[in-house]
Amino acid sequence: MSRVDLKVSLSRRQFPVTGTRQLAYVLIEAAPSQAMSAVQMPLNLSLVLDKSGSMEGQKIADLRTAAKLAIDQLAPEDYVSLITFDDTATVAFPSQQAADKKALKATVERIRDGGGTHISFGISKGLIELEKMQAPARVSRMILLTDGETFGDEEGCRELAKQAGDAGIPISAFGLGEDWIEELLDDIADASGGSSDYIDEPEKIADAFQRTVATVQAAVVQNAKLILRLAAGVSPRAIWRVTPMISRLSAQHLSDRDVQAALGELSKGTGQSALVELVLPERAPGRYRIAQAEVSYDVPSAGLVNEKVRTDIVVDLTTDAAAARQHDPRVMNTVEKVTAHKLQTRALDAAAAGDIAAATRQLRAAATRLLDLGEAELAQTAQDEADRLEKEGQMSASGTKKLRYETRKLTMNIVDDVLIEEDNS
Amino acid sequence: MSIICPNCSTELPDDAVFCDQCGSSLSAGGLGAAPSAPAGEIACPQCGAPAIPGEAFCDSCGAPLEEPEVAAALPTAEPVPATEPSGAPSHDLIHCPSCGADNLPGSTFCSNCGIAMEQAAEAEALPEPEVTEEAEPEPAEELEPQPAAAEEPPSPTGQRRFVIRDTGAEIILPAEEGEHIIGREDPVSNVFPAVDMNPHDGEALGVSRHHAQLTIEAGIVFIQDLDSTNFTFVNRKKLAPRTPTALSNGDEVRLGKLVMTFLE
Repeated sequence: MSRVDLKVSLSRRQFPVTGTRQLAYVLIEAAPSQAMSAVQMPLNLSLVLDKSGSMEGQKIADLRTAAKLAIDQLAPEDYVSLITFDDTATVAFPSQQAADKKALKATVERIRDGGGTHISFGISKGLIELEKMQAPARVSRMILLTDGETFGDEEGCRELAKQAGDAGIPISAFGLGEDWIEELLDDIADASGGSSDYIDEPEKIADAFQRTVATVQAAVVQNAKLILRLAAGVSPRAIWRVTPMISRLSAQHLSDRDVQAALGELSKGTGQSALVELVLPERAPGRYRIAQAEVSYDVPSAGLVNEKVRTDIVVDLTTDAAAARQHDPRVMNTVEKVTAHKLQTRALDAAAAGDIAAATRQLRAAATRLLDLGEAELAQTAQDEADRLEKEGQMSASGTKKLRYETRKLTMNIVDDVLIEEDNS
Repeated sequence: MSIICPNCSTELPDDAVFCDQCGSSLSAGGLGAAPSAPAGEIACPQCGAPAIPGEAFCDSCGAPLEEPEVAAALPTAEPVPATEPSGAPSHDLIHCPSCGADNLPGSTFCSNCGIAMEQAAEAEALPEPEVTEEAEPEPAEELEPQPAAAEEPPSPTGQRRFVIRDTGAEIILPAEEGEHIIGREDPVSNVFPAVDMNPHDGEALGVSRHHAQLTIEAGIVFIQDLDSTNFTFVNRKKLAPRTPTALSNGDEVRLGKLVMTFLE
């Protein structure tokens, strides 16, 4: 019995015979199967929280609330530690089981703001606590929150994040407000195999923490890898992760015809999906297997390592023009979302490189795609930032952050397959 | 620190596998047989950047691209160069009729060229030119007059209606100017929409009680989503809530999973 369900959808039911090469979009969805629904992963968690002077007021109050709610979510046998940092880092409580939640929350209540920001000190102490309780059947995670720029230890942060990644400890990095550096948090997330996100209002910290804890508890499948075994003449152009969030996956060639991308953990409910752009060679009409998709994975709760599930990716090539025009709307919707995200990423890169004209153009193109997708608010932000860029030569900090992080989440509600039941009472 | 794409000279990070700009494979030897000649390929109508047929959006400027054209003449089924297995072929293996590669008995698809083995065997048996001749004129004829027109004859009655895709059921829409709610009747919560989707399996298909609103103004019909749970789509585009969109004859309207065609 497979613990992972693997589903493949193509951009068209039938592909036209074009007499040239052509591009096919393939949506590959992998999620823990029904058999895993009762499993909840034991956690090894560390909260690493910024208590610098800039956190004064509502921020620090909401942060305390969020940390307490996260503790409430834990099972009694989960391990948790709390680190606070400013110019120095303090272990508020070391790694221990969340049996006496009242005592842990009382410690949280004593967090007070003050001091500067040295993120690397916090990460370092958090790692020490996490490494104490690492075990194969326990999911490790650091939740890092900061609201400001770190002082002169950016490289230290990156190094520690890499160490965390090597040790199998992903960091979920959150930036609060507008004054933190996106590149640094993104680098920390990437190097550790974690994620990064922004929180615009302090009242939303609790929600971000709770979602993170729930996702980690649901991460019943670990170390998932997507492998594509391609037929001769077929080449992959790009592989994008599309859920839970959009990001470019780096592909690694195992051989001439085998390509692999690391997915990491698969959480119940959401799983992960990837959009693969495959360039197909010119072929006569007929049915072809253009590739095999395989996902290899571990299931720590069942002691399973390197399990595999695979499925064929088969296309029909036809000379019937009408048949070839039928798209899978769900795949095409995903393609459009990835395109919007890609344009936005290029725009931010161009703006950072000082190429205002290119950045403005890409932002306007992104706005068009976003509007088509029904994302009116994000489209407006892109439009406003394009105007601002043209007039003032730079974008706003809040607009940049919003575009950077919100376009990653465009795929969070793919509505076509999932209907939300209404409360009919 | 960085590598240069051999195809378009873009500077790329060291670990890049494909060029970000042109998509070329960067691995030495690469995925080999990837056809590289862009003959007969397309360019973005907006920015002129080269594009691969089948690509939905321009990789450079994001503009939507057109559908790939079906080739006027079928490519002759050129055998894919076989990868010659080293050593003597074993008797246990079967040969792909298309490319000649060795495959395990029972293989549905050739492990080298991917062709469906059965189909390749049939193609071998049939005289190739006949297939080409027969297939050639067809797409040309079909291409022009066919789209949607056949399915959605413009109605001369002027009566506005939705036709449900899956059942063919017709829902006659109110004719009078003004606002009309589309949703599901629910006497318990006192909801009585002008257009009730209960008889059309609305609940199972995710239609909200107050799902959308039709506004008829100067003879033009607008639809807006009323913050419905499963959204409203027109021609596969999700509508932003409470933003009226004009409907025209033949538009596809979707409420949750209920797909209809608007006719007038």
